[in-house]
This record gives sequence, C-alpha cells and structure tokens, in this order.
Amino acid sequence: MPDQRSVNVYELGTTSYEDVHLLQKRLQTQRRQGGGVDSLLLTEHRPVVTLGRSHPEPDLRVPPDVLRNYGIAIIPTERGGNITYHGPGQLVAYGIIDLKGWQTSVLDYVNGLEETVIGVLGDWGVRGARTDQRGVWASGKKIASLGLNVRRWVTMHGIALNVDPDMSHFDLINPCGLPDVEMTSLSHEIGKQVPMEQVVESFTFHFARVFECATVAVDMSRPKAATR
Amino acid sequence: MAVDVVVPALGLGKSSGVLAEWYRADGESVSAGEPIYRFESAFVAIEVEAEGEGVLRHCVGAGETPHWGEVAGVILGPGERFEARVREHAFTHIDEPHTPAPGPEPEAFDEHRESEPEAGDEPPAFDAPRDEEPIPGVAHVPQPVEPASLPLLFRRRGGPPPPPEPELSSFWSHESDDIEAFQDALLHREPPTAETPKATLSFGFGNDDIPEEPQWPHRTHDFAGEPEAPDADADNDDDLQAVFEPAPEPPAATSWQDFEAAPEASDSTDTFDFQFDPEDEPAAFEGAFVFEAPAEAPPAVHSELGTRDPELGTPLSTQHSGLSTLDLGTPLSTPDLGTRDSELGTTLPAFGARGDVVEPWDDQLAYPGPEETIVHDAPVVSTAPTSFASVPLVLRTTVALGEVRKLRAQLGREWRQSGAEPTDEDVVIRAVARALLGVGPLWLRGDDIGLLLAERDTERLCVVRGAAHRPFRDAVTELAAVRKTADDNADCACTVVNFGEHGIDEGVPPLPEGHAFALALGAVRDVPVFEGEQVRRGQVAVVTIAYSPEYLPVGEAAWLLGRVRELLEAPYALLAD
Repeated sequence: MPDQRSVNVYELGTTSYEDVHLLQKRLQTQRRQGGGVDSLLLTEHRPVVTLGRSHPEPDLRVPPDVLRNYGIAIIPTERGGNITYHGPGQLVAYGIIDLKGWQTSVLDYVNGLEETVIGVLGDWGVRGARTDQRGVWASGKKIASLGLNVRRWVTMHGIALNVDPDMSHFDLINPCGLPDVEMTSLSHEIGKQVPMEQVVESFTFHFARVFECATVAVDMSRPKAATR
Repeated sequence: MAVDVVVPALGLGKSSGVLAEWYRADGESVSAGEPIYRFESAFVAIEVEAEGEGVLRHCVGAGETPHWGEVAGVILGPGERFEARVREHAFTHIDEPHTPAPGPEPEAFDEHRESEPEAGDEPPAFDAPRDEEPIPGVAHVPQPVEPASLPLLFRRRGGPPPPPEPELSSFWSHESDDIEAFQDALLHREPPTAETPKATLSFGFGNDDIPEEPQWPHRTHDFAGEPEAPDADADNDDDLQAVFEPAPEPPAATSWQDFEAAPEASDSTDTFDFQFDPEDEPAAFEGAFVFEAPAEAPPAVHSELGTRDPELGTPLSTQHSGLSTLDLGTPLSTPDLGTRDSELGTTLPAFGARGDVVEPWDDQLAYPGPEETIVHDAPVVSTAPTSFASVPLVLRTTVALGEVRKLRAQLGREWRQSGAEPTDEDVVIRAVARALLGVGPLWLRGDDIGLLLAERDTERLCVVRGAAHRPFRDAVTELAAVRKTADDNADCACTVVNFGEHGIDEGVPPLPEGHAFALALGAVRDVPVFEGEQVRRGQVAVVTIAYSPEYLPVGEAAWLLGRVRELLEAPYALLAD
C-alpha cells in the first residue's frame, strides 16, 4: 500500500473538449516526467464527438454533414475505445494518475473508475453493473463510457457518466462502435433531474472511497476582477 | 546493450491485448523515451516507450495479441545483431525450465556451429527481418546466422512452423526429434513449479496474487527492474532541458491563493505553469485557463460530502429540514468521516460507523441540534477521508406506508396462532427478506446473535434489536427453535432497527462489525396527499440503510433499498406465498 494517495480535484465546469484535452496532455507530460501531482478533472463538455486512436474513421449513423449542422466537431484522440459523444449534462472525469506511484495496475484502475460510477448511481438508487463490455450499465443500457490512455504508467482520459445529457445526440453515432447499444442517463433512470453539482460531489467521494485516496479540492472559482 | 521491448502487464485477469500499431518501423532507429508502439486492451491504449537507444526490431507484428511479458521487439545497440539477441533469449529463457532427462549428456551447443549456414536449407518460415543491409551509423559485424535455428519464441504467429532442424532439436530435447510436438507440449505444460522461473511482478499487486498460469515460454517481466520514470529517458529530458529550459517546478497549486502566490502570478494574469512537451502545441494553451488576480479572498467552497435521498434526488437537508435527526454517539472527526449526511454536516454519528455495538435507546438520544453539527465555514480546501476500509455508506428513501397498515391486518390473521401482533417493523423485515432474494451473494462473517425470520419457503437470519413488541420476538424465537433449516447455522446478515418506536424520524442505524447492512425505519409521519382538488392524509416513513461495501456492493445496496420500498408500497406480494 502506498504511503498516501492524494489527488487534486479540479471542477472545471463546462468546457470545450480541446481545452481540457490539451490540459490533460500537459498534466500527463508533467506527471510522467516526475513532476506535478495526481489530478482528477471533472467537467462537462460542449457537444463533441471523439474517436479512439484505433478507430480514426467515425462510426456514424448519419452523414457527417448532420453533425456539422449541429455544430458538433469530431476530434481524434489518443485514448483506447471507439467513438463516443460528450455534451452538457454528462459528467466527464479525467484522471491524470501515476499508477506506479499508486501501486495500481491498469485493470484495477479501470475497475475502480467503473466502481466509482456504480457508487454514484447507488446514491440515487440506481443499480449500476458491469458486463462483458467495458463501461457501466443500468437496466441493460449503457450509462457510462470509458476510455484511457496510459504512457509510462500515467493515465489520461477517463470515464463519462450520462447524468442528463441530450440523449438524441447519441443517435448520431454508434456509441463505442456498437450498432445496437442503447444509451441511458441517470435522470432517465430515476425519472427526475439531478443537479450536476451533487453528482460531482458524489463522484469525488466514491473516487476517494474506491481508491482509498485523499482528495484535495482545488478552488476553481473565478475571483473578481482585479482593480489595479 | 540490447534492450527488450516487453508487452506491459495490465493487471490480474487480463493477460493479453492487441499490439495496435508500431510507431517505428522494423529496423528504424529509436531514442530512449520515445513511444514505439501502442498496446490496446479493455478500452485502454498504452503507449510503450523505448527504454534504450538503438535500432528497433519487431518480434510481434501489429494486430497480433501478445501476452504480457512477451517480448514484442528488441532495441539493438551498436554492433548487436538481432539473431544473436534471439539466441540469447533461447539460452536464458528457454533452456532453464527444461531439465534434461538423465542419461548421456546432450551434445554441447556450439554457437559457431549453430550459426554455420548449411547448403540446401529451406527458406525460413520466420519473417526474417531486414538484417542484410548494414545499419547506418552502427558498427556492423557480419554474423551469419541460420534463420531456421530461430526458436519459436520469436516466430510470428500464424505463420507456418519452421522445419525440424536436427541440431536445434537436439538442443531442445534429445528425447524427441519432433520439435513441434515438443514445443506444443511445452506450451501446454503444467504451471511452473517452484523450481521453474516464475513471473515476478512487483507492480500493482503482490507476487502471491499472480495466478498460477503457465507463463512459459513467454519471457517474464520484472517491473522492479524497470528504470525509474524520470531516469528512463534521461537523454530525452536533457534535450528538453536544452530546448525549453523549464523553470524549477513550482509546488502543486491547490487553491487560488497558491496560484496567486506562484512566482508567475506577479502579473495581473495568471496561467498554469506546465513543462512543455515537444509533442504538444504550446501556443494553443494560452488563454484556455486564465485567472485574473483577485481583489479579495475568494469565497469559501463548501465541499462536505452529503448523502442524497435516492428517492428525491436532492439532499435531505432541503427535503426534510423539519425532521428531527438522531445523533447516536461521538461525532466522527473529519479524517474518519464515513457516513455522509449533508444535514449533519461532516460530524456524523459514530454509532456503528466503526463497528460499535451500542444500544441507541438508552441514554444516547440527546439530540445536539443541527446548529452544533453543521459546518458553516467549511475550509476552502477539504480533504477526504484517508481510509474507507470499514466505513459504512448510507442511503435512505421515503416510503409511503398506507398499504402497510392494511397488510398488518392480514398478517395478524396469519400470526394468530403465535399470538404476536404484527407491526410496521415486521413488515419491513419481511420486505427485506424478500428483497434479499434478489441480491447477489453476500459475504458474511459469523455472528452468534440473531433471530431467524421465518417465512414460508424463506428463512433468513436477521437481528431484531430493540423490537418494541416482545410477542413478536418470542414468536420468532419459538419459530426458530422449531424450524431447523439448512440455514440454521448461517451467518447474520442484517440488523433492523425501528427508530420510529422512539419518535425519531430518521437516523443512521448501527452496523455491527461483520454485518452486511443495517436498516432503520423512521417514525411514521402524516403528510398531505393531493389527488386532484382533494387532499387526503397519507403516511410516510424514512427507511435508511447503512451498509458495508465490503460485504454488500454499492449497486446491490441501492437496488435492495429500492426493492424494499417497492415491497412496502405494494406489500401484498409479501403474502403471495
């Protein structure tokens, strides 16, 4: 057991995918060069479709022009997995974790992320489960998708939990490259809206519980403008 | 010095993946720290970096599925030959487990003789790398090697097997001339014994946890022998130093004040300070996260962890602000924070949180009031508990009990012979017992206290603590004594506590050590129920479950509580059998 695991939690709010993607790459580069700290980025993205490294061709259900009309960009990434959608109402958690420092295997980390989401769902009375497919499933539908990139045992990317996104956007793609997969959300499962702030809080708690780590909340509130 | 490029280990239960892509072609020069191939498995893409500098040679092709520890490639130093490295593997990793049978000593292996080409040989099945041309900048000493002598360890999968080679077969085994059969037997041999080299993996889990699966003939990989991350690409880091000359790393920023206090924060605009990577686009990041210097201290961020009502989806503090709340013991300090309750703040009932078995209905009902426990000035930076090993989690929901009252009348007729009077608690226990049928296996530990809740075709052990109705307890005890079942010696699963008997609306039930969960039923309250323009009186109660994720997985607990609620709101299913 490592001495003390600790992770800085950044609640970034609603962001563009490119910004956070760049932030992730920099944090990962910094971390694998021996600097920085382990970080957990929690955010919602503006609508975007991302591709896994091994699936450069988007697996769409509609012509690409439709996505363009929606204003949804298609961004290739270096993570594993296939195509997925991110948008407002979806909590995306990116862990920049030095697995070697945490003495955790890649598979344990993946399982821990899924267990974290199952814990979050449990807080709202939803039974999340794993299947032979990766991700978290509720009532036979996929509610959380996962994709990671690991370099020198430092992770980036993570897991996306559908809290209350625009589910019609998932109809534009074959999520995870599975043509018959059905997506669902936490709000859909419990029949009412769920404040994202509570989901973020719950995710942080269960992340700390599952990985037995301390969480340090980084104050990301934008202070008032300086009067200089 | 040649360096092996080894397939990384993912963890227990996952031994293989796909070598998705080589970033550097076979025979291409690579430098230390440079990603050379991508290994994908389970939605994870692992970029494997070169651990040395030299010429990369592939041993596993893209699209193949090597196992962890297998040698995917070799990085050759100046003057080193791929075939020689292959033979080195043959000596160090293949001949060790093989104990020659007693008898005449096998013919000594003569490297020079092995490497002598023989006329009339078949072309090698092994996809021989392009070694014929000298590598620029690398001193090259020609060492003719017979390709067919390459061991199968480096043979590309799917290709035709090499023809039996008499000399090699004599090296492998002097008992069999059929090298294919011998190697097949080797591949399906028994798991390595203590005498054979065993995979060592000091990363992620202990060596004792490694499954006893045959690792042979894949090369074992010792993480402990890996160079440390900062040193692995020291040369590369030097290059970075030379190009970018990054400033000394600032301490990790944990708050706005840290950003402000950073040396770069002297200006009115602050940005994150990161070390640059040549693969990234430094200019694009500017402005992505810009923070203006504050005129005053930032407001406090409350980040206490709270429990939400799974039924209502909102914190209990806003939904049940008028309820009385129970504090059953010494408040937990923040590092021991386990059960979360936003209404109580971060000081929660320690009762049961660490396995304490304390009767709550004696003298511990002093309610300190929420004002004394709510944390009004939460710190800007909060630290979560450091250990969750024995901390129970809490879920609660509100249940309409109108139908339960009707059910009690029917239960009364059923229990007439025992003389017991059914209570709401009895119905809850029945609902729990029924809901438990749908829960996965519970990992229980022994506990010598418990009463048998006996239903028709269903026997479950429950602890009914503080049951207000003595006849019920006597009846169940009597029933347990009479009806010996297969589960007679089963462990105790849960505790059911009726806080309503004490006029308490809701509370966290004690969770004795070793119990999977504890359920608490709060006091029944009257609430208005609107039906169109009509208003009638309804009855609700809060049901709280405290559970140990060690025994009851989180998802199962959530489902269990939801199922209990369903059964209580439509309790006639409890009479179906």
